[in-house]
Amino acid sequence: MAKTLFIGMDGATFTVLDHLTTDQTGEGVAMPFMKKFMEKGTRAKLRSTANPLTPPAWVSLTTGRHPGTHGIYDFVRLDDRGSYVYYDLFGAKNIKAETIWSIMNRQNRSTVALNFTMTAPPREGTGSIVPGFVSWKHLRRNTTPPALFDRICTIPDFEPKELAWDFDREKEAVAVLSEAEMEHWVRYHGVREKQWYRVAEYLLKEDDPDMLGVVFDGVDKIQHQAWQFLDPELIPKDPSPWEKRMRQACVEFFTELDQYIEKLVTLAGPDCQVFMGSDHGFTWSSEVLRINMFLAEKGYLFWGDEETQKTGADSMWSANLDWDRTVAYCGTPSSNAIRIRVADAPGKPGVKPSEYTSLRDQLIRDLESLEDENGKRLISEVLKREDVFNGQDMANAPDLTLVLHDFGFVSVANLEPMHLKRDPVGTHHPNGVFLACGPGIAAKGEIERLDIVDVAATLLYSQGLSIPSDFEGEVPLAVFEPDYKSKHPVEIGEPTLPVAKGVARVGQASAEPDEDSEEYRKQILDQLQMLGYME
Amino acid sequence: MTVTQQGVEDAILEVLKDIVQDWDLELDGQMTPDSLLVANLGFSSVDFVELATSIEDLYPEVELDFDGLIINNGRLVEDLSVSQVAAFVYRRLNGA
Repeated sequence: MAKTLFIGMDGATFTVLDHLTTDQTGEGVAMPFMKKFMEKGTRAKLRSTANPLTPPAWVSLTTGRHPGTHGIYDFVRLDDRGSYVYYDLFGAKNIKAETIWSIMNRQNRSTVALNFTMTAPPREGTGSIVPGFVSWKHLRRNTTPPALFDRICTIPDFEPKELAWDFDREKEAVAVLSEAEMEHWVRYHGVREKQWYRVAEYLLKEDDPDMLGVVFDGVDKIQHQAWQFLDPELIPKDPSPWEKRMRQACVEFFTELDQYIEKLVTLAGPDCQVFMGSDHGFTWSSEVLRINMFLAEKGYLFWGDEETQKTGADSMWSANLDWDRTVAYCGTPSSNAIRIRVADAPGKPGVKPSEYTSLRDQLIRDLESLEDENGKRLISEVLKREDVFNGQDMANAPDLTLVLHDFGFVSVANLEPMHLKRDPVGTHHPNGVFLACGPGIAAKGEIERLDIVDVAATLLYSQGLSIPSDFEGEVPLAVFEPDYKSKHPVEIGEPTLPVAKGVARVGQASAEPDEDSEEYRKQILDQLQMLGYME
Repeated sequence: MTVTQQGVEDAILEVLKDIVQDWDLELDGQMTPDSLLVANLGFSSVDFVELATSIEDLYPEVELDFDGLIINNGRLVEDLSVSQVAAFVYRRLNGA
């Protein structure tokens, strides 16, 4: 049976889990299994990445490295080409650090990873993966090994369109929904979670992997839209009929999730160590800050003409700015980041390299001076990249990362006013959750906050593997019982392997390589050398 | 590296057939080099990301920089045929 089970709950927070594991509202305990799990094990807040966002945070959780090392900062990758900025999606090909799936598999541990973001396109030697953040239209090609997709299609009632991301629907996660749409949104994610549960159940039974990890991402999606029905501070005291139905739908979602988790833990067996975690926590925001409006007001940013805006506004490929004059901009709301453009040659757009530091210092002062009508700072922290993204990829990191005073995400819209109040909506909080229970795990209740990069080390330790010397996290010893630790001392081992660039998609050979080509040969040799086959 | 434009086109057609196999498309006849990604295959921008990534995996030795294909004079192109994609990839593979 599996030795390690990891249950991911995207965006899970103790604000909600504590609420749903107690009977505070006379509705009963919505998550009875989670309640027992907490009582028998250990829990901690889990500090997320500098920008608490799904792609960088899950990649940190599965690589044991911070974004400045693994290179994932956002959903969208911005490539400044001078006269425009090209928008692309981050994917597994952009991860510059070895994942636990690779580390485990090359040490003969069989793994199954379900619904982790940034696991597509599939790389070789990473076990069984059904990726998250992939449209149903591309799920087959991004599932590995290639035969796995047809296998999971044999699960009764399996439906890829219900399981995988529907990008049109996901846009709704940050949009304004009608009452009926919001109710449907909650039910829709309940259906998705059931599909993922059934794939996990099937593969636990059929493949009996050493480790299985599954992420339930509906938690995040529902909290974005329906936070006011889950946060004890905001639950309507005198609910309308629709508010009652919304509250009921949200509670039912978490009750069903609790049942799926219980079944997976039971199926994994009594010898399995079970860990749960989230990529970030949740809270609420009630303000809108249109950060590019502020940058324009201060002369750092210039909007494009109306025609450009029409073609760019709804596009993921370009943004509606005057790229010849803009020196600083925020590319996406999810990044909460500002990029400063540096002119890499005379005549190119951006600030001169020699003026970068002074411009950045002035920009920080400007951002820190941004206040509401009562004199309260709107941005509580402005993080420099060398302070939070110090690593091999720092040059590609955003220059400044903003922490809004209520943890909200900025807006990049070209709309007045620059700052306004709105009804509360769910937003990400830096503190996620970590929970553990099972043989060898202490029943300590709550311990000190852990860092998201500690989870990878913990999962390797659970598998009896050494911790790579270049990991940035460590095994939280307080989680484990003294006897277990003495019998299983933490060992620090060889560093992770470099990630080869351009590894072919699993099951797909590169097209027409000319084996006599010197250039091609050199690249093959370089790859082999990186993999340790040649000196 | 020795490649022909026909070879690139054939490889991209194979990738496209694999990509759309679960889409329940009602194509009039076979997919051909003249097939349009948006008009005939119903591509969205996310689908183009999948295609671009798959082609990059086919030719990992070259930076293909697909923005040169989909952005023309600062504007997004509205549609592309398979042969246009193949011609672009062929040019990039040959250093253009």
